[in-house]
Amino acid sequence: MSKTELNTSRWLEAHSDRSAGLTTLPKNLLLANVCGDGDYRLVLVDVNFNEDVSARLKVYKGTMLCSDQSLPDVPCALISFYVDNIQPKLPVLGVACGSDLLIYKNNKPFYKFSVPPLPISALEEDVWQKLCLATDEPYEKIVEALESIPFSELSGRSQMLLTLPPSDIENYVYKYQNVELRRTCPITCMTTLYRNSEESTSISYPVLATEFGQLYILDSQTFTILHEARVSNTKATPSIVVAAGRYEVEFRILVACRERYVTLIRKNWLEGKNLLQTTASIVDMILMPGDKFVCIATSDKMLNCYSRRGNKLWTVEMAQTITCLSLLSLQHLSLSLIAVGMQGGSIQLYHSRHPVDYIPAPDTPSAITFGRMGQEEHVMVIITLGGTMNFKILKRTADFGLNQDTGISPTIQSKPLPLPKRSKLFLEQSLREKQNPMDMHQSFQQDLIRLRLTSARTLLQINSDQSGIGNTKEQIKLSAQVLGLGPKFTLILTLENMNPEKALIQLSAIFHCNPENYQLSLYVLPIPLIPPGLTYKIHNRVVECINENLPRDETQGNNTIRVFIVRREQIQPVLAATINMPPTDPLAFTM
Amino acid sequence: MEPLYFALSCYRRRNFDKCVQVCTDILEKQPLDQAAWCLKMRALTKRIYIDDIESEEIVVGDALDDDTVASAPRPGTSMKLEAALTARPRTSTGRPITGINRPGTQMRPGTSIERLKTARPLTGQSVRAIRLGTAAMYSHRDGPFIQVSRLNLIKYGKDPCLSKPLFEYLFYHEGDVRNAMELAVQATQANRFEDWWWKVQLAKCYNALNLVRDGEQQLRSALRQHTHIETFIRLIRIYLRLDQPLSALEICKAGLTTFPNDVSISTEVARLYEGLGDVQLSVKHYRNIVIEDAMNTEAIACIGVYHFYSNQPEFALRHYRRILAMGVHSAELYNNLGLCCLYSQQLDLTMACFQRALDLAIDPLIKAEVWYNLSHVAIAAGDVELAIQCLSICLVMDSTHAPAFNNLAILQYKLGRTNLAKAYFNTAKNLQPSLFEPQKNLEYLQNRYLNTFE
Repeated sequence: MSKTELNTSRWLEAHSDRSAGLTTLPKNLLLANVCGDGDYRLVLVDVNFNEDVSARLKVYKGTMLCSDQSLPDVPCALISFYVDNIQPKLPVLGVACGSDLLIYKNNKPFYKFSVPPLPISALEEDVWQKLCLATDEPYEKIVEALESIPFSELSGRSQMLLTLPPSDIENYVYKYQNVELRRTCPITCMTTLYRNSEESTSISYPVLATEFGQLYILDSQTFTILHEARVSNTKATPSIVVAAGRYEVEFRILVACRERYVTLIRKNWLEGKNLLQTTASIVDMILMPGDKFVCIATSDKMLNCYSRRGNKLWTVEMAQTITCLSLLSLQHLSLSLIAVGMQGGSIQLYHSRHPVDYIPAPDTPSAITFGRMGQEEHVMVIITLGGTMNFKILKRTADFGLNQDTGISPTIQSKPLPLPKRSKLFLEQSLREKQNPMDMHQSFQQDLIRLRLTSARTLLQINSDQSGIGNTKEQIKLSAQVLGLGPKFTLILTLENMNPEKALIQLSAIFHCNPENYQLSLYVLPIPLIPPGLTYKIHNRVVECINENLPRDETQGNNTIRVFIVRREQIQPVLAATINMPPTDPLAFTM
Repeated sequence: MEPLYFALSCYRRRNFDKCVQVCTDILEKQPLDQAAWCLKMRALTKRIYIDDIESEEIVVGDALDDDTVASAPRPGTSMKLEAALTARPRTSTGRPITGINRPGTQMRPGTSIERLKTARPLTGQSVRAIRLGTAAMYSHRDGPFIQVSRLNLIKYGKDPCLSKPLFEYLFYHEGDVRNAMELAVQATQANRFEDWWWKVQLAKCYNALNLVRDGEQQLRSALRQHTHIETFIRLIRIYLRLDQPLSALEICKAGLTTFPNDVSISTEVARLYEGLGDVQLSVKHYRNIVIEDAMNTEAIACIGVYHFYSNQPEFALRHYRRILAMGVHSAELYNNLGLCCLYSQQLDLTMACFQRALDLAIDPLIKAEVWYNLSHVAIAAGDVELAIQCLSICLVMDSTHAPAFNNLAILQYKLGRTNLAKAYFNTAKNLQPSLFEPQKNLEYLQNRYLNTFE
């Protein structure tokens, strides 16, 4: 990596439109050759979350909007796939709206596939029949019967009914009087699976997963269900599905669930197997091509990598919450990078666990995709939460510094820990340990008991001095500082209230010293209220009385000032401290 | 016996008080007896003389120094080590802990500005030198032996026999650097600038008066005339005062080519490398010293410390036992032996050593250190309450012990008293801002608090 490449970005800023006003959810953004002219278009779903929730399917040619159609509902996922081998090859777009898969070909509606509805319990059917017949019986009575059925097994219509106030029930029932009761099954996520060839333009099948844990693989020509499986044997709501392999040979479908499971489904399996479970909710999941690792971003800022058997290989903690992931396959470098979009507007590129590049984004990215756009081979499209549309082109010279080994592995790990060699002396000592472990342990325990005694005794002896550590029960701390060269000193006492809740009140400080040695500017000081966590400083001026006749002996302890912090109407002082005053140099004094 | 001969005999037998007394008697009878006068001066000087090379405090970053060139020196060219990440702990003044106490390593704790306020004003003259002067003055209640102000320094400067004892008397006994320097100047002139001894003395005076660069010139000039180990060491010290360890190293090299394998100069080299943070080279030199002088306590202790902090406490134990066998009997040594025993798993001997250390420790600061180390024993034994007690005792003995505050805070945090922990971390941080542990721990606490808040 040359020095200039370190500093300058590997990306060209192609287009950035802050006023695009797009609201695009993850998985609703892709690059596809939708017109078959080799000019790859950007396809995205723009959702309007204002008063009337609506969504539009937009196709951009370059930066120009070339197709804009409204969708019946807010879609959960957008895919593109080839349905036949007829030239010119033209991929179709699949939009999962509610329980329907809408297929668009050449930017025109082409087909609609509906997920088969779930069976409705007899009781519920009965209730609705009664409601529609408009008997004399009050609605409330009839509706009560619905409550015996688990809420999740009711149809959407009944669920809504149960939440309505009694006054609105009649209108609601009237509205749906002649509509057939259905328990629809919303699609939650979707992906594609190649039929028998893994070329990018070969036929692939859509894979749908529904709210109730069903997984469907559809034939892309006839739009019939080829395979149906349960995602998990426990209750699981799929949120992200990824697939690898070929339908006719062998395939693996991984489904991330809201219950923090990841389940695996293979060819001919009717039920998925739980592969792994994460500790935090899964934000995004991608399957690394080739080596079949799966990278999972979780809500606790972690990027995890698991092997195909579900063993955790590594985790990296991010600085910010991850919002989306995207796979960057660079075939000319035979390299797959992970783009990690993070809260606050930064995108980091990871080559396995090592960060290799950093891309600033205008604000928090909401969806990222990477691929061919127009005639350009490597384009990253970023749609942010703020609605900005941003295109970045990867420079052809960028190799992410991976040719050098030094760039990849962190320097800390390359150096082994400086452990010393096991010396002969060490072996001799350990032999001694092995020979009489009992005696050694017992004597150490005895010594420990003795140490406890010594420390307790010492603590009792020095009970009169609690400067420094303070009184842990009352949570008061006193520290003293003596300034000056003598004979005039300034004594600064700092009283700290360590209690987080209670304020210190009714305290006063008493200074005690031998008047033959020291004169203080104050002897008793009422201390004002000290709020929790704050300190109070006391300045006391001390003058040492130099008495030539009295030979001063420092060991006698008459160069000390004792401080007591007392509480009103309490006999024992709260805190006591002894302050050793430095001796005044008689030479300095006489000079 | 002839009194002067008796006095000389007393002087040789190092019975200085008796010698002074006899000389005083002679001088009462014959006030102008130069021999007796000279002998009395020498006896008085010898009585209180200590090796002033070792007692000199090297003040790195002298606050009153105006020779300072760069405030942010290049790495490796200054002894002002900020946060060089070595595994060894540091003293409260931020120097690496070394195997032996030297004047430079035992400064009073506190930040430099506080040290300025509390301690004596920082000058080149060591505190000990001032004390010596004081002691000398008080020993003669009936008036000083020589009225310095009445001395005719020009006359004495020309006298080759009297000038040197008089200088030493003035410098060491009276502590009167200015007059001593005056005498030295006169004597140097009288010798037509050819006597290296006077140049060294002049440098001593310049050094005491904080005229470091002048001192350097004198010493260099003296070295050109005569190579002497003392001159080399004084020059090294001057470069240390100027915070130029690389120049000091050059002088060491020059000295070692003249005096190969000299212990004193090798010691200087080893200390220098230690100060520069190159422990391995330092230990290499200490090993050379031990080959030359197998009884060199400083070298053995420093090698021991090196082994201790490079995770080989068993070797450290062997070195400290060697010092013990040499007859050293101090609280610090037993404390170190106890720590080595603890970390090399010789648990049955641990407490015996610490008990002796406690018994021998008189200075509250040393006591505090022993209790601080005892807290590690308690932690190793898993007794948190005992560890807290030990640390409390340590803090009562020395209320400025920042690592103890830090450890106490960690223990309190383990017991769930986060507020206490926070207060103690803050105290530790304020007491010793160079210590990075309380800083990191506080940040950790803050982050945890933020995370739980989210």
